[in-house]
Amino acid sequence: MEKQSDTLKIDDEEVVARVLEGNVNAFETLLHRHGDLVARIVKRHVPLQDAEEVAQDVFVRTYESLLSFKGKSVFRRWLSSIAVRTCYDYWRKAYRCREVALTQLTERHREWLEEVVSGESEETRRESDARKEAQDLLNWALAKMSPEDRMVLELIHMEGLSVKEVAELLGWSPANVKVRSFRARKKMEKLLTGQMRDKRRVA
Amino acid sequence: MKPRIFQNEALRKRFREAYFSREKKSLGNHWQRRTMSRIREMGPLPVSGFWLSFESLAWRLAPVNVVLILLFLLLNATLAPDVDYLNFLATDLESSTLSEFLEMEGSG
Repeated sequence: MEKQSDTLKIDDEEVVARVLEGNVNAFETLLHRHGDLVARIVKRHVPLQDAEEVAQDVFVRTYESLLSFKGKSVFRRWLSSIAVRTCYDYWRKAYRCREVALTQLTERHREWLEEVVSGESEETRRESDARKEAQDLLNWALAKMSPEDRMVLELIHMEGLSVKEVAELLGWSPANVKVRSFRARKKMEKLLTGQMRDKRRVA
Repeated sequence: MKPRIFQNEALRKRFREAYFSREKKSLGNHWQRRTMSRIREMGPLPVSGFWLSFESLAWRLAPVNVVLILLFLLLNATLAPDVDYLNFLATDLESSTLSEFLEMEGSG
């Protein structure tokens, strides 16, 4: 049996060829080589408690799809696309089963939002508190969006990817991504404005 | 023009920091080992051959096949109710005449 150390020095396409020849263990090289990349993508898009399961699913899907990998694109990019689509499928399933946890926002979150928007937040709170509030607010807003809008908002507005890159990752048309991006931004705007309005009403 | 909250650079920066901070949490040490055992359980991938290519092609063409079958059924279906009615009358008339004739023969 071929050891994993034998495949460490060869490139991804060659490892894929060995897996396709029936050497299942060669896949471990790809897993070790790109495990961090997949874990990073999955942790950004999926709640931590489900991230391990989704990361495993990404590699299982990759393994099952190896026959369709033509070697024309870079393996890393192909794998990233599978990872992003698996995260998207996770959210589609979660929304279908209505398993999306909605973060409860408090007055503290609204205060934080107003401080940041008005430019008064600098050094008034501890960095970890501020990050927690930003995280909660972001999670709350994303939970109110459709899986499509959520993915596009994260990829374009958080990660700064271009429309073309997002279209390739998700396998959608650029026009669809543009429309989704516009809608997601508008929805986000509406949600945040609503929170600011609530704050003013309470005050 | 109304100021847009989500366009606020300070807020976007905070959101981006919060978003990328998700990466820093650990997935645990064993997820890769568990993944590999799932892959080993699946076994080697089937060798690409004629039937595998045929199967994938058949699935890819399935929607086209469905459309063609529906089109075929539609073209074969008689969509002329007046003709159907005339056909029915003609058949009915024939059978009743025949039965009358046979009855007459029987009685005679």
